[in-house]
Amino acid sequence: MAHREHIHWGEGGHCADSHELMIDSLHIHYGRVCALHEINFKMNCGHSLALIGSNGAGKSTLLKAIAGLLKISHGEILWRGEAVYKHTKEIAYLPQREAVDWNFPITVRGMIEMGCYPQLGPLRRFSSHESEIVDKAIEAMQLQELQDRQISALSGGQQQRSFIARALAQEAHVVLLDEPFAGLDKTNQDTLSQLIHDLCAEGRLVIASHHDMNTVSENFNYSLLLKKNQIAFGPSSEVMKNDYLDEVFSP
Amino acid sequence: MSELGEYFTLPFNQRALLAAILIGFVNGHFSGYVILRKSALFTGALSHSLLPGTAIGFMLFGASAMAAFAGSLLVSLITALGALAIAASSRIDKDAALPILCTTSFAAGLLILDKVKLNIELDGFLFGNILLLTDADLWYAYGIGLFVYIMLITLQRPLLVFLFEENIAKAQGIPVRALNYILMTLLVMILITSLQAVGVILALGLLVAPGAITYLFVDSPRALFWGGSIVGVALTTTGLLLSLLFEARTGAVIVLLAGGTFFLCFLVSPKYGLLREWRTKKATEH
Repeated sequence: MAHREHIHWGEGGHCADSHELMIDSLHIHYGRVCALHEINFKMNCGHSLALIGSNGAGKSTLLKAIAGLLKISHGEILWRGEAVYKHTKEIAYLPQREAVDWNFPITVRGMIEMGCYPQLGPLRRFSSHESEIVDKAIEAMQLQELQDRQISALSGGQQQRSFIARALAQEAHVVLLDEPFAGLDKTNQDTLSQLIHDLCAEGRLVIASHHDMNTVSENFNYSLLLKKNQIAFGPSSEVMKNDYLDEVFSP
Repeated sequence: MSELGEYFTLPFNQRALLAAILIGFVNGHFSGYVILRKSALFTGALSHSLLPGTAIGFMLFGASAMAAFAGSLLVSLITALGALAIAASSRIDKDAALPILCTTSFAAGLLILDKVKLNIELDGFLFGNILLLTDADLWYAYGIGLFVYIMLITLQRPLLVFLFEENIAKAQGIPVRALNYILMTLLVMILITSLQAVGVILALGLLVAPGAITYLFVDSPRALFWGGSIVGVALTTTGLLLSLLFEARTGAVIVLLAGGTFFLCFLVSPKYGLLREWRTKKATEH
């Protein structure tokens, strides 16, 4: 049974720094091509981290590596002191919305329920406990009125919220989001921004690739600047500075 | 109708009906997975490897249903898993690797047939003959059908996540590669089972059409799988009855019926039909 003592659904101010994600000397290669070189940082639950860099800088690669989707060429990724693949149920990876076939015949609730499958295994019946978790996830993402709708009928912002609800139903500690703000209008961006704050306040660790430099500091308290290698890592207020950013985005 | 009643007093027609129900049900159910996996082309290419499989089975173990089954299973698994392995370990994707392996093995199968004069008619391979089934064939078919069903029901949850988005499934700890291989093995087993009764063309048709037809009406994966089964049985049994009434080839009649039903539903489906699309488009223009 996973330790979830520091996750407090819908509550703020309880973020205990109990669980740590540690990336140690990480290198990822696609064949002979180096995608990430010497990445080192530590993050605790209750915080949010923005991955900043131009296209091809390794943001998606890093997210996939933390999700356990890629073979690590060198170094290690540890969650609670152990290799991430031992804790896959605690880590939710949400790819870019374009990567998903939104014509898949399923309702919003059905998709969110899929988040519970790893905990349930193949045969155990859906109990009142799982229904309650799904209800809570739907409520937290304000999807009550949309829960019976087909996922193909959702707007971009609603898709992103139902994606996150799915991660909540998984009771994930770490939520990995690939370009979650892409394609959202201002209202939906504000809603998502608030949701990220809420997830951290509940004690979760949120890591997202992000491309809008003006909103990094307000949405994420930490930032990692990438250009295949690590340019800077630290509190957003300290690393989002012109000299670092010039280096990241220089050709 | 009394004429039809008379037909089914004959044992070979009874067996044909039982086989039609089984194949319609299992293939129809699996067709939902083929549609969601978007692997209809892969399935089509794979079906070609059954001919060399049957030839090699006959060559190794003599001409029997079991030999055909063993040979087909061996060759198609080597082909399918080989394609997946090539895709996993190189830049060639499975949709390119599979046709190369399948056409190669199909050509090898034809040459083997030419040389060793095995009793396999290409016509029978393509359309089968449901009226020539023996009791043993039927037992094989039911046994394999039951096994496939139990596997699909047991693995339904991980399969659904896998079909929805592979990376999400993998990140959740679902063994995506193993599931891919399992789906492929089940597919081969279904193809072989139906091959003896209805030939490779119908087996393929029934592995896509019922799911595609149902997909035009339903909005949940479970409705797609079970609806596929019902549509599959309706197509095979109606096709069988029509073929008996009009004394036409059963396999061809069923395929024609499946194709015709698909085009009709494609036009008139109240949810995702072409006519509805046109009406909605017109309404928004005004």
